[in-house]
Amino acid sequence: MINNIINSWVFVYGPLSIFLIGLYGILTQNNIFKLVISINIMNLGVNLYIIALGYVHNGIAPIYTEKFKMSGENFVDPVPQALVLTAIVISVAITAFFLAVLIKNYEKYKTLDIEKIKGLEND
Amino acid sequence: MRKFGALIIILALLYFLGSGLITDLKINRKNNLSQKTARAYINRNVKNPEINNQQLHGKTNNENTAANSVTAVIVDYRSMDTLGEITVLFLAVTGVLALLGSSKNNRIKLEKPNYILKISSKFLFPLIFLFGFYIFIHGHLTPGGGFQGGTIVAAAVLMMYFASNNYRVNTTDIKILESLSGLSFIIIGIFGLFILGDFLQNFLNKGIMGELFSAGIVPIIYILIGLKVSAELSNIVKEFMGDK
Amino acid sequence: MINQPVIIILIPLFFAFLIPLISVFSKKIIKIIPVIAAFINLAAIIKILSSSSRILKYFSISGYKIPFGINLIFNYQIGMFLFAINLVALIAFLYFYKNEFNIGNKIAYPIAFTLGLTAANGMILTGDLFNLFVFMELAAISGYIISSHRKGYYSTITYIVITSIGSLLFLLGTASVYNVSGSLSLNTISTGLQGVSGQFIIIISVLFIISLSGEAELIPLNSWVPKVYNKTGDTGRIFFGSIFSSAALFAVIKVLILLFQGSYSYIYEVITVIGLITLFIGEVVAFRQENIKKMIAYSSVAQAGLIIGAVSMAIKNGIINKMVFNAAIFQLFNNIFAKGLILLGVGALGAYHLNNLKNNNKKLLASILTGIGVLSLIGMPPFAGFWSKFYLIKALVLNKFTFFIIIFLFSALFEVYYYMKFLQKLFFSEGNKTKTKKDISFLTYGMMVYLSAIILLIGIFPNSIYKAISDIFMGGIL
Repeated sequence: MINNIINSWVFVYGPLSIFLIGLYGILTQNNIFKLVISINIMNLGVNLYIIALGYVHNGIAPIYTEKFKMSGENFVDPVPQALVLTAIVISVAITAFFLAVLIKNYEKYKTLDIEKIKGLEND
Repeated sequence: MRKFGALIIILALLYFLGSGLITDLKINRKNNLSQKTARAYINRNVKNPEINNQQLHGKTNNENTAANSVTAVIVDYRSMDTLGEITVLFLAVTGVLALLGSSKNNRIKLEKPNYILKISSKFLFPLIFLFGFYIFIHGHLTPGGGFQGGTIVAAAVLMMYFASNNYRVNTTDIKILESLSGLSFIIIGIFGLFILGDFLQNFLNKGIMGELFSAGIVPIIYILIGLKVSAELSNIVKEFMGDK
Repeated sequence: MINQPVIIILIPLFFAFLIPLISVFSKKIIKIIPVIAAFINLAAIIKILSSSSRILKYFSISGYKIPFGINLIFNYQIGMFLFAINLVALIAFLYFYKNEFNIGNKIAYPIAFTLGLTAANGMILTGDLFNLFVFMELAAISGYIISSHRKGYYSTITYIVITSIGSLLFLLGTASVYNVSGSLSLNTISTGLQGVSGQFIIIISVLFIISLSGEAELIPLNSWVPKVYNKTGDTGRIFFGSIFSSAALFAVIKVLILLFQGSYSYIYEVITVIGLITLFIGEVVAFRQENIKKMIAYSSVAQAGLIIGAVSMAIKNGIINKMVFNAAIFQLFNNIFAKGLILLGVGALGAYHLNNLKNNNKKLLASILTGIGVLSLIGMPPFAGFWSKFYLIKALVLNKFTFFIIIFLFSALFEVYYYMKFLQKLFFSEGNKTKTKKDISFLTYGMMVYLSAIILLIGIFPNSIYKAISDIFMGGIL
């Protein structure tokens, strides 16, 4: 019973809470820089969730060495790790572009508040 | 008011998502790789995924001889995703260059660069560079690979930017390196298309698992990816640090 | 070996990687590279079409068959969609080469357009869930670059935040589906999902629908559409309106059909309701707009809602109702050409605001050609749009979907009214214009005539095109 609760908290509810904290940041914050940080927190939560779902009980890292050379060893799932690698690189790319847009925005309007920018750009 | 409403939405979403997913997901003890494609990837045998107790390390097989299973999945079994990923990074770097390249930003200068950093960076820089290269050349034997090694090289460049106020990176070299690595990746794939019939199929000699020269085109692709990623991330560092 | 559909994705990718290398030597050739890439791609599509069958086939990459590798799906009907999208892309690139090359950074825009074409082709061809995610991200980033204009960045910031939320929800759904069913390939997931509880299916479908609605312009994640359409350049608007939205909508339909295989009918009922709400709200808000760019944006949203609503109405208990489904796919096909022509005409004429259109006799031909596009979109004979809407209404009436018909006709009334108001002001208004656009070049006239000729041809011979594009997921799927 306690084992089930710990399992579900570590593997599912924990990463989902991190994801939802980032979502709360996007819904309520007005500063553009805080939006960038919130998107990064959401990415962190999703990556943790994907990796956590790949764990096998008592599994080891999926690399063949001198010590573990037979097929059929108790390896952890390698596919979620590959998905997370791609997701991390894509999130780095988007963050870099978003920060460049933020710098140009600041040069033009001298403010980082999104409500003020919306008011200035209405035509 | 807005914060209170957002808090209610978030708590409702946590309950909804958690309770719906928990009943069916196979986590920890229930996760059994036997019916999944992961079993075939680990056993390096897509035709008979359930053959266990066959020695793989130190011998050759006719499918994939990279020792690191994650590298085998990224560069061999699902290589189209890797091609898409480097394209995404390439496009984002082009966008950053387009937005920030024309503004005549002054370079971010430090008042007095740290004395320890100034002296030690001179001999640390080639060591960190070499370490980054080691990580992506041995990507099929140890944990690591092209993306990880490229990031380490870009971190070394950032360290040099902080150590001295006069350090610059040459843009033309970076652009040529980036473009040539990307084109080489596609050309290697097209060789696979002509020689064996499918795009990005492994057409070189596969070798023995565990040695440096094994697994056909896998180390070659990872070296190209490592060079490309280090060039692109160094470009981003240069743009954000300013140029004048 | 050149008959594989992979090269449709590879050709623009190759040219896009070539552009920075060429820019070191000479900056003038860069203008023409997207045109060359789109032209060679079109030739490759025609050659592959001539040797393809009408049954859905799976083509492997890296030599591994289903479900162990990434596979592309292709048949004759999908080839026709690819042909339409690449043709409109070629026209957009020619317009960019002639008129708009100097508006932004000279290297970033051609790269972004070429990679946007790659991403659209990839979204239509792929048969794997994570590969769809990667191509959607590529389309999103090329959309960020196209939509960022030195006049203002608020629309880009909104677009970035909304598509980031969408893509992360897609990743959550993909990871959960992989854990339960064990494979990432679209056609083997449903066998792995047998015996799963109803709650899980509801959560998965909610995650996928919300995330895919971001790029396909459906409710709930479509608040970026009017802002972005208002601020981009003309070529960017053609890209968003006719290439990205159609490719994303095709990807949504593909995921809906191949992933769930028609079971769990409550999902499809909810999607029909979402589609109808999008259609109604889109038409009502467009009715009150005075800015023509925002009017076309809301009309595009409404068309997306109509097509999704019709497709999900056609699926019940594992059986596709062929009449309704084929009519909806035909409407999607016609919209690519119609929206492309309208946006090209609006851009060439400079017709951006309803109170700012002056009757200009020199540009009468351009106004007539734009009018052809508008009449096809709202469904007037003898143009292509009339037949697709006629087949759709006939199929709905024969199957007695009365609620759908009522909302459809009501929204069509609004649509006809505001587009007719637009045409009337385009031809007959007498106000004075504050800024005039320069003359339309011969090349642009040629492209508009070509698109109108295609719309007329489809309108005169609808049966052959309808038969050529019907039953798109045939061959062991449902």
